Amino acid sequence: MTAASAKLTPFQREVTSRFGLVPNFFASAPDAPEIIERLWEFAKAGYLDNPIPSLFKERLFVYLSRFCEVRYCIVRHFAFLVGRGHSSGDPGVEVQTVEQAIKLLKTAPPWDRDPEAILRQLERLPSLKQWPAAETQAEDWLIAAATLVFVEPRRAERARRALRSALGGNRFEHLMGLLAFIRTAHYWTVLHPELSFEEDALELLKVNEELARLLLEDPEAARCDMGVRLLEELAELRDLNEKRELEKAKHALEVQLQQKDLLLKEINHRVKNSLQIASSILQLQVPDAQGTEAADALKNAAARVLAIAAVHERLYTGDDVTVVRLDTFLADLCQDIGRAYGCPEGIESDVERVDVPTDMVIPLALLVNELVTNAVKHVGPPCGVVLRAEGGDALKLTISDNGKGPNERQARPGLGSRIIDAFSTQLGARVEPKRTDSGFRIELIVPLHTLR
Amino acid sequence: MRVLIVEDDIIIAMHLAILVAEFGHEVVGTVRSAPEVIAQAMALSPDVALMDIRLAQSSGIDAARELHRSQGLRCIFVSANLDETTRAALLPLEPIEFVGKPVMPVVLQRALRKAEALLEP
Repeated sequence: MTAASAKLTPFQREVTSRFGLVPNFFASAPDAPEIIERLWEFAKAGYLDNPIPSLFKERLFVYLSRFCEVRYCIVRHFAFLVGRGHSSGDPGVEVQTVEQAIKLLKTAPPWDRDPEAILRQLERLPSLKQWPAAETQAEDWLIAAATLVFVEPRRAERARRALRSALGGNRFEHLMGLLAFIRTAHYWTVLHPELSFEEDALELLKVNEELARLLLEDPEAARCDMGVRLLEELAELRDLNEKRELEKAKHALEVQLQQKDLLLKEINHRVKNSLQIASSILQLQVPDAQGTEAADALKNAAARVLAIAAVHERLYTGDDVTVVRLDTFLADLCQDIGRAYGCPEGIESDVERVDVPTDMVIPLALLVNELVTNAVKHVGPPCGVVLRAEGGDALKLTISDNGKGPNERQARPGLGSRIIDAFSTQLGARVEPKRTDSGFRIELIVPLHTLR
Repeated sequence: MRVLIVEDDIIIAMHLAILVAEFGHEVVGTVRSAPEVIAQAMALSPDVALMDIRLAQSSGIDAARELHRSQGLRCIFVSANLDETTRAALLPLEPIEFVGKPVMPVVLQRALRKAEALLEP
């Protein structure tokens, strides 16, 4: 040791006189030793010669070094605290046990406790006559408040005020001076990642594995990286914004959906009203043509429009817009044909309640209209209409009367039979005419979903 | 029965009038707006009103409410938009029947028969 001391520069001798050794920190810029000497001057002003009691300074240095990603400071100052070298460069300082130092390190940071409560208690404290001793309640509050100021200076206005009121202006500024130096020391170690632990500190880590873990793997280490901290806060803000944006988008979608719903209702209303007008106009014209051939054509046209209109009356009334329930309306349609031909009770209908794809309903209604009209007009009542579901995938429509079936020698097929051909083809229906004992029957097997 | 037709679409009103007559009732008047209904209903003294719910610039529901309040007149409501909410809202007015638009003549006929049965003294 004496041999080694002999080789020391005056600067190293001065450092040794304070710490009892030369921390690697003060040998970290061999290319510009003058910088290190300036740093030493700051160390003396902010830390070593700062009138705050040496033990408080060292304990605070150790605790705040938790919040630095580089582990040099925490290990070095822990070593000082437990007597390897001198805390705060003060050879007369009280040495703490490893247990005492560990207890300090394990004190939860203020944000994991109740920072509000801590600051309230500090605010209520009568002005301190002197610095509190180690491991007292008041020391804990001061360290906690100083931690808030150190880690988040921009958000620690209240902590700063509480410290000032408890300590008085002069001691408060000395404390700020110490924080500034600790910050500088941390930053210097970040800029010098090659800084290695001293032999005495390494020895301490080797003999105490728990301590090594505590010192080297502190989850709070990232706290002091202000960049990371800021990024985390920004990320939180972004998440919050995103959430708000999502809420806004959701609301807009709901409004849009409502508007779409209203629009659909409005269009639906217009279509129904327009169909009503079309049907009404044709109906109004029928009496004018009474007794002429045109009257029949008008009546047929009115009936066809009414069949379409009747379908529309049922459209979009249920929750599912893709199907229409064939409940009473096909029966109503048949009855209305009977009414138009003066035999309102002449058509017996038996229609099973079945859901039919929307796009099949108009062809189906027009088929029924033509077939029933034919039966009533050419044969007369009674007529029968039966609609049955054939399993889940087909419908069977049967129209029967007492006649002999269509006259095959008819020269030119009328519009009625052309409509029947057209819509049975469109629906992919199989048409089976049959003569029976009691008359004539036509059966249509309509596969469902043929138009999809 | 004396039937008042409330319908803002004149063509539809004319058609309804023909149908009402065909089913053996008397059309006492055809009006096109809620204020008109309220002004004329007293003088026309109908037994029943065929009321379009949606009238141009006014509401058939308001007209029906006023008729029900002042004369206890009940309606057969006609509309192209008869959803559950509308039906429920009209219940206090003791609706005789709801007839969807486009109107199937037989459906109207049934509603008028129902009115006759209900209103028989």
